[in-house]
Amino acid sequence: MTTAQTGASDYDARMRRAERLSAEHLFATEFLDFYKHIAAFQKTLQVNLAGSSTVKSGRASVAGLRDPFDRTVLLPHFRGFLSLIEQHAPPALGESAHQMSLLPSDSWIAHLEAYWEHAGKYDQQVGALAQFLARAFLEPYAEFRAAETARAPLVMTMRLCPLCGARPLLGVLRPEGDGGKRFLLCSFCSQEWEFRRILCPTCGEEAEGKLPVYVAEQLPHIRVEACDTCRFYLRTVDLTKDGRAVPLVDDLAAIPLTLWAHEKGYARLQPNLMGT
Amino acid sequence: MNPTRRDFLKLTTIGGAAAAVFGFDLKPAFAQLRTLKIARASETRSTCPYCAVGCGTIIYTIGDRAKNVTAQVVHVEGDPDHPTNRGTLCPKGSSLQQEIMNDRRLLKPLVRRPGGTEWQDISWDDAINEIAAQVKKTRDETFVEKDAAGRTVNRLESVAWIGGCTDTNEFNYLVVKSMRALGVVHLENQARV
Repeated sequence: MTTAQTGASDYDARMRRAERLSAEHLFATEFLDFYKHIAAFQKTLQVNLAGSSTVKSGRASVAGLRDPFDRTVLLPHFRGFLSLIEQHAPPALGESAHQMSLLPSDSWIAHLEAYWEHAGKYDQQVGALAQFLARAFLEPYAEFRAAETARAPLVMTMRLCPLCGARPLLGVLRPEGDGGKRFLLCSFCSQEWEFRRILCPTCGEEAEGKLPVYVAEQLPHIRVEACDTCRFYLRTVDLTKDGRAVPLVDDLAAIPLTLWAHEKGYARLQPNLMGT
Repeated sequence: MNPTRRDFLKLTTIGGAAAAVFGFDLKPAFAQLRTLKIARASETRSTCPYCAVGCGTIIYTIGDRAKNVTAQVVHVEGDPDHPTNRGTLCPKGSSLQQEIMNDRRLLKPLVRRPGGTEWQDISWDDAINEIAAQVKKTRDETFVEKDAAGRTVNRLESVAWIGGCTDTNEFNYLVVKSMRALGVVHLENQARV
């Protein structure tokens, strides 16, 4: 498993990449401009988490990544987060944040805890909109926890995140020799783990003829790795084609490929933060 | 191009593109979608044929699997999951694509006559007939039935065969059978993997 994209500098890299892609891909500008606000908030939260003595002292007792989160550290930031979303999000999402802000803190806790417990595992029927607030808010905390969690060496090819059990969000091809080694990036804690090439992470299909890879001329470093057996696809960011790409951000910018895959009858294993 | 109502309905009923539900404007993305040139590639594991190391490779072919379209090899790279080479390839292995797709490949038989300096075209039939005649003539003239000690050996020492590394198993099988039948002993087929 490689090191995670955690820490403030990673959020800076994500924001820079969003800025760049926003200018290059006008079809994704609205998404990426909004994402920059979220990433800025997440960076602040990450810095606060790293500096929090409560969280630090709790590390040693964390047996699993999904152990209950520290409310006292997180909750004070939630209202500010909702205000930010209300201010910058598109209408439906902004209204959702507004409604959430009217609820008592017990409801916030229940909402966040439900996401923390089930995200990426038992949430297939939950829409991206319903998950958005908890997902965007808890993402930095999950990444922070993951960075602090001990990893056992992988002895087999895991379809789910070995740290938190969530489904993968993305594939990432990183240079290895003269080719690209595939890693899966967790949809919950953003950690990466090694995964074999030419193997469907959803159903385990290995037949090469049933695992087509689709690449658009305009986005050569984004691959739609489909499976004709289960009709799911994994989006993969190929860093051997564009080493400047930041997988989480480049994924958000590839909206036309989501629409295309949907037209072709492929479903995404796990949608990203914006539901694409 | 504007998305149709049907497009939006399809999107909103499936979680895969919930962005429309968020309130994002998807018209620019739909417009971009219509301009995308998307190629279907297949990735196939294979083994480099050149030497005995046996490096793993991944071969990319492009083609939409239509019956009247020949798939084209567009790229060959080292297989990162292969325990022997972990994604690496030597310079020769890195050029494997050119072994398959190369406009300098010889697609017809050529002959250079004894003493000649130029290669000339020759038909397949003529080439095979000439080779057969030469082999028969050479074999008839030089076949060794018994060695100096009078032991029966039945061998043909004046003909040798050398094969290439990209010859297939089946081809090599036929080579060995036919050369042994002729009595050829100087036989090398480069079957290392």
